[in-house]
Amino acid sequence: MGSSLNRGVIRMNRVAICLSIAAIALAACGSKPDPAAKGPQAANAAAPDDPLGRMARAVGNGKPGAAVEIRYDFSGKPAVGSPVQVQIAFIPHAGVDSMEIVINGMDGVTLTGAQSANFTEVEPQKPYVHTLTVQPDRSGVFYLSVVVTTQIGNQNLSRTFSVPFVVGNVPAQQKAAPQTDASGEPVQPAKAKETTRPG
Amino acid sequence: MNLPYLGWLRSAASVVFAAVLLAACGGGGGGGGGPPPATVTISGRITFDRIPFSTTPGDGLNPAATVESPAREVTVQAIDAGDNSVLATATTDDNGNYSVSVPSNRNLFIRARAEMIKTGTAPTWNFSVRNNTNSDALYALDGNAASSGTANGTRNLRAPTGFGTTSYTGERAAAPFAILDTVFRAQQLVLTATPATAFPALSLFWSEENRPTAGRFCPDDGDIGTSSYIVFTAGEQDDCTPPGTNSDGIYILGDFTAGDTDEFDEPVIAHEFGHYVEDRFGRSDSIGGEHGGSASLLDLRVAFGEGWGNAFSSMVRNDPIYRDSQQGISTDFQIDLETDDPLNEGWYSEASVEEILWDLFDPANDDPLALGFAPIYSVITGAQVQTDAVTSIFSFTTGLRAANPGLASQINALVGAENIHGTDDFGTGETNDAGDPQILADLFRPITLNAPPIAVCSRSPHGNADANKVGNRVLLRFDNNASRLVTITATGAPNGGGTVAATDPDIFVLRRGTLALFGAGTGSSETISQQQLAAGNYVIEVYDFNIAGTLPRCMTVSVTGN
Repeated sequence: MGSSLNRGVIRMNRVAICLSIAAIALAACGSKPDPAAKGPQAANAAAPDDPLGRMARAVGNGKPGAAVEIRYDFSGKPAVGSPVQVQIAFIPHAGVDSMEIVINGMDGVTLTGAQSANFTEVEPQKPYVHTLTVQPDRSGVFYLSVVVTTQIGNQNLSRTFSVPFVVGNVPAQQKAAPQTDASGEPVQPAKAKETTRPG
Repeated sequence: MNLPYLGWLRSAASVVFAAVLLAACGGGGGGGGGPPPATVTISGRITFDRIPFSTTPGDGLNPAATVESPAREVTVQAIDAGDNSVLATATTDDNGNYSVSVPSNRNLFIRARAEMIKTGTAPTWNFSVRNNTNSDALYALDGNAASSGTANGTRNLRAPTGFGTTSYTGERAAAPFAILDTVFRAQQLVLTATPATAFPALSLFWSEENRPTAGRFCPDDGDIGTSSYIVFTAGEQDDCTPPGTNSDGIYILGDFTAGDTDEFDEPVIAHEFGHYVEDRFGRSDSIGGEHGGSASLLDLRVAFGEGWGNAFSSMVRNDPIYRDSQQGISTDFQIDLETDDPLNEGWYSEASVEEILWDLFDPANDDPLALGFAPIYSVITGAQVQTDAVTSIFSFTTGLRAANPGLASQINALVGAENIHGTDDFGTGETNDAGDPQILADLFRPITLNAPPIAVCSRSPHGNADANKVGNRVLLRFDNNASRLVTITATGAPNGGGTVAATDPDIFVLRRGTLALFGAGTGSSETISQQQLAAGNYVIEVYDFNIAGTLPRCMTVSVTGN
């Protein structure tokens, strides 16, 4: 049996190397941190002429899914009642034949423009950009849901991304302290459907 | 002393006390004209509602076919409604049934905790489902407070899904118990191979706020990237404001609005549990990163790790079809491990790995092998751990052949059908070059002490996203015959036409998967200088951190020492 301590050393060293790597980047099902999987702040930044350079990177590792990464860029700071464009770049990895995109908003956000798109005969590592307009109806933290389905041979694989954005000055919310049990352990009970035969 | 143990003691004490009392009273729980009994028995069944997959592939989950399922091996408590003290504790059986002895005429409620705990004699385990967006609170299911009365009674608790017609409209009480039940099934599979397994504690973090947020990892807010098994480094901080640390475990998506929930996706939960098993009982050298089906030609370590995850998931469910619901729960995609995927077969393919592992496991149908789980698990926890190479389909099949010499020809045929031909841990004899002869030439290429530098390249014939594709990283074999000070250098330099110099070479020296030395600074040359290296067989991994484009990014590598 392997030593978890030793494996921890591997992780520690690689994470130390990774500088500002987000844990999301190492989250791939049981994987170790990968220096190449960096967040937007990472040192390995895109070249100045890279059209993706100013886009935040969306790392979507983990369970099996579509071989694609996305980046996104809002044309301005989202504000209540003001439409703002968001560009989402879909970058297929090698082997992907085509991509199907579905984008959804949530309560408090109005989307304008096509909420689905198809990209056929795509080339690996080439960005395919889809643009739509977002108009928030109120302040808050919002997410766009972006579902990408790639076709590889005869196989379809999907992956969902949440693209976050903040509207207005949203104060940090203080969460209520969780309920605790008799031992002081936090518990979150739900109500059961109960059937009884009384004693 | 932990609470469950206390609870067990209390429960045991109650039972003993009850037995004494029953003996004294000549019967329990009602009847007769004497004084009320001191204790009564409350029994019942704990269940949860599972939303199964539609029988039609692609149609996602089918809430109309919800199935009431037993909550197996979970902790049940009788709790005093007045002061919340635990009056008795029990564990459900494999049908979800429980029984506790409690004081009579006590106002109490029954609580089922989303945990499976067994201490004492092996096998032992400690699995729990917690809310990462609520201080890691343990999920539970509560019944109504009512008097225990003077006679034995029954209280059945059922956890509903909370799903309305097209979306969740109520409390999602079933979710934690559905997750835990998949863990139960996975645990049972492991126990078939090693009945006395002591499972290290595992927390599974689920929240209805857990979403696949792009570019931010903050479990407190539900931003978890995707469903994953994660082991954090001590002190590693997240992207929350302010940054914090997190607990190891399996993080699971649950935000319906965000479009992807996994609590009822048994294949996903079992896949992640497979990584826990490999991590805690075996060895995984996977560097992780993006992987996307048979089109992804992967680093052989990643290919094995992800292929194992999918195969383990299918073994747990005894079903070769991996399914993952999407777009709420309205669609799903599938991966069929039984049907051969002819695309890009080889040692770098997670599809090849999972098909091989599944065919080894399943009954003899399209192949003559039907080993079941134990022989596979034996290699995962044995030969794989000990290999001097890296964990891959090569090391796995070598270990399997060694343990089952009578089946060697059949194993070879199965692996050969996936275009894998290596005969030992290092892939000796492999002929499948992934479309680039130099990739195969550099696979475990020997490097010799004090020999002239050798030229190698980070290659990207099949992409380099996350630098985890085949050819991106070069694995060199270094046999160090004595403990000595070594200097290892990698210097960017083109290697002929059509290549460029690596601009940021990195070096990792691995001994059986453990990092012995590393050099990962910036610049066009990397040196590990005068470091003590114990005698042993090593794998030296080198690659260009700045890997991009399609041209090979080359460097010279040398090892010198006394």
